[in-house]
Amino acid sequence: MKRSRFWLSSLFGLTGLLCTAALFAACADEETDPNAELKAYFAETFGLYLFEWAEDSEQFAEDEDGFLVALDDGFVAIDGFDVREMRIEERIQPAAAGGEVFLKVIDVETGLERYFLYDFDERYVVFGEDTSLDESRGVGVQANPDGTYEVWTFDDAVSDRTEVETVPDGYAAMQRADAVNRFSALPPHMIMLAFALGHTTTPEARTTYYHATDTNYAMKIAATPSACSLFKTFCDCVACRALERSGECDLCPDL
Amino acid sequence: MISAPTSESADARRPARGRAAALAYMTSGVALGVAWFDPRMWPFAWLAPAALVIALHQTRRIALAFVGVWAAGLASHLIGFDWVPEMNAISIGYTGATGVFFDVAQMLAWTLCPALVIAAGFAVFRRRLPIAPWLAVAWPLGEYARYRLLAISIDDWLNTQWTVEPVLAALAHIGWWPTVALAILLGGALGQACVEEAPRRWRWAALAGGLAIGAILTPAAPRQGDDLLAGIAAVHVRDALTLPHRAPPGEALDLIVWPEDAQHRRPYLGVGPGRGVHIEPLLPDSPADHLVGLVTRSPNGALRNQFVAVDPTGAVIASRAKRHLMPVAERSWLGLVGHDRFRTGRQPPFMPIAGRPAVPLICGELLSRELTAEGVARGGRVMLVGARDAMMATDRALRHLLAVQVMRSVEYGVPSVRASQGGWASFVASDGTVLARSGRARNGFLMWSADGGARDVDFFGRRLDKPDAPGVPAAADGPTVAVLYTEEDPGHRTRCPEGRCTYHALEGFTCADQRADSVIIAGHGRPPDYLSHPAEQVAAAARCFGPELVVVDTCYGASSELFGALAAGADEPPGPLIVGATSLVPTAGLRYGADFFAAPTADARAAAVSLPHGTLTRWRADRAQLVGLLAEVGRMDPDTLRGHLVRRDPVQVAVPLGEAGALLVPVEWARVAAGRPRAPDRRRPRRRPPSPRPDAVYAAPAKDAGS
Repeated sequence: MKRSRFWLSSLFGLTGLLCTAALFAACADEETDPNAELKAYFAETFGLYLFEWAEDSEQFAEDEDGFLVALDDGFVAIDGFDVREMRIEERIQPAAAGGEVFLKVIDVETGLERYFLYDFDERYVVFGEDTSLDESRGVGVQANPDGTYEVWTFDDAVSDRTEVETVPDGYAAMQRADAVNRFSALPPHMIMLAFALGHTTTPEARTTYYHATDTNYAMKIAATPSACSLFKTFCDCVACRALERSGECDLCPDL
Repeated sequence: MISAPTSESADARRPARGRAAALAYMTSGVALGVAWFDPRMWPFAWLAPAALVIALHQTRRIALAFVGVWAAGLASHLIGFDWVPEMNAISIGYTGATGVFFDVAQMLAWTLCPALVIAAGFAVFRRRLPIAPWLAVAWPLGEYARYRLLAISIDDWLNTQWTVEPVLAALAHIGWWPTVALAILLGGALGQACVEEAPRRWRWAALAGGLAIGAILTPAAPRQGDDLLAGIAAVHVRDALTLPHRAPPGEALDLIVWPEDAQHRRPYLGVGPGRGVHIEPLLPDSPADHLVGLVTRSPNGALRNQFVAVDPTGAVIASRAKRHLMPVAERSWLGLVGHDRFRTGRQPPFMPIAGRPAVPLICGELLSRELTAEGVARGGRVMLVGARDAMMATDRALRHLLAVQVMRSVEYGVPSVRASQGGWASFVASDGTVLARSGRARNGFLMWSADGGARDVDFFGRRLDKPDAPGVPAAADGPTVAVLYTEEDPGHRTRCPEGRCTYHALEGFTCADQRADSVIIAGHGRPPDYLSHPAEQVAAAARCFGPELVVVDTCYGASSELFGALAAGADEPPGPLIVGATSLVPTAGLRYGADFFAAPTADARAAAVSLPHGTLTRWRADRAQLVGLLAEVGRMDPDTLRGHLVRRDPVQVAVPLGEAGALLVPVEWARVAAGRPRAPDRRRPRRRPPSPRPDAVYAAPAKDAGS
């Protein structure tokens, strides 16, 4: 009798504790941040923190060409640097028209602007700046299937022609691009903001599902990777260059 | 003369008292279960608190009270919620031992909180107060705790009374918690009368009688807002693939409400005002606005389960994302079970649409009284619910949902409309009257108006609610369409007007005597594979139907691998007409005009297919032409190949296929690399963007610290 009383009391007490704990946990039960892993990577590897940005570009406008346009501003903090307010404009082209992703980054304090263009189909990124209403200059980097890169520069004010050079790897491509674009001369906040967005923003893609039943499925994203997953070495090295963190960037030799 | 009980006599009475208590606990549970089982059994629900009072009166130990109440709760749920295991199997996919374990754990969890709270009340008040008064507080408190913990309220006691007018009247006038408390007090008072000696027995009986009379004398729940229901059609559909052939004829509709996740389009869409964003029009022949449930995506892959208001052209008016996500099925619970499928919405449940101040709720959000209250407080005057109910496999399960809808309408004094995928559409008045209700076996539009009453019209425009309702007509009166897909990706099956398409998975496909005028290959394209299968296998399945027209509804469908394989059986011209894209296609797929499903000729049907923001290749299969083209590509020098290069993974050039359009042809990178590199034409944005002042274009987005 005593034993059964003991077990019943224990069951009651344990259940009470579990329920109380669960109630507290339920009150604090917040959704998982899908980018938590990426944010941790940014923080731990590059000391990069973004805050007061709208959650995953949740507000779009659509322009007359069918581009989705998202405007936002927020702050970029980097270990060892000050905190800067930045502004961005994202423009995503309809998939069937090419799926081009355009990103413009503005340093609010200085008014400095740079744009970044990513074409998934042709596997290239362009880093540029507008020099007038119709002209710009910059550098483009294109990934080849054999691991080499093609790099070209352009300056509309000087010439319509561009010279393309093939280099052996992403690091070499970064060096060529840096020679033109001077990543290290730009505020690292601009580069790092573009770097962060280059990890997430993708053109519209068909999706597919892990299918369980007619009404239940989880989703995985189809093969339209982000710019920095296609250009990983290049992206990482640009970030390292911008931050001048040679010791922490194993992927970028000789930095 | 009464003698003091000896310990021996007390010991002798203990087993009898224990048996009586156990019987009372079970009576309480079974009575509530019976009330859940069939709404006509609603009086049994009142026996549950009465029997529970008797049971608790016979109980001496707190732990036994806890176990007894928990067991009673389990009994009631096993009887009344017999549909739950099937729901879990369908919605979450748990089967076998995992399914059984989850079902048991879920039932234990559902019934735990009320048992715990009632046991706590027993511990505190058992020797201080009669049972009925504190039970009237503890019972609703237990249900509230369960809702906070599990986000479930479908099994609240009050929902058993959805057909009982005096209870609905009380709910309308005094609100949810007072009504629950008084109802439990009434039932508990009956039990108290059974266990007390006279004259207290008669006082408890009088209290129960007084409460019952008070409920009966309560003025009926007010009826208001019926006019807001006229002009609304609620869609009930069996799946996310079947489209209406036409809007209901002769109806002056200005709003069509669609179910949750009504179509697998997965568009890129933000939240809030539409800001010029468009989706494909939903019902081109209707001038009505639409409120449609869609899962939407952000550029970083985040998903939202949204209710999207669009005008007849597909322009988004506004949208809101689901806030009350169901644990396990839609979000992780305590980080232990399930995963976060969707980002949680933040918009209030209020949206003016088609001239109506509406409270748009997405399926399980109806379980949240707070959300309904918030929408009504913001001015909402009609509830519009979009639901996905296929997992609610029985009529009893659907009745339980209808009960919740009735209770919300009555409590907040607003009529409600429910559109459903796999369940019942319904119209409910603010006094709880079920004005119209569809079946679940057929697709249709449910409507109601004060002058016309309830009407249910199928997707062909014919009345469903007549005794001689017609069946789905045979597809023989138009071109037949076969849709090939992969079981890995059923979400990309092409949506078709009802009865027009047949669906065939590549997995296990065998070529027999299939015939179809048109074949659609629907899914992913990643040349040289399509639908996760080699192009030759996909083409062989398509050729099996002997089609006049093949539409490749995938990314990069216009490739020499697939077009060539499709043309393989076309040695004798004319071969089939083949349509495909050399680019990505949007998540919603290609656009099919009405002629695609009706025109007699393949050319006319092919012309009715289009690619938003892009162009399609339309080629009459001609093997000789293709062989010539491939030979031409084989002869191209590296610089020429560079000029035609459009993709680098896989390496493909785009070359003109006569007048048909362009075709992607794979080449070896080594041949291309030998050429002179050329910079892509695009090196700056296609169009100069506007000045990036966020507040100049629209209100700044809501901020999330730490995002």
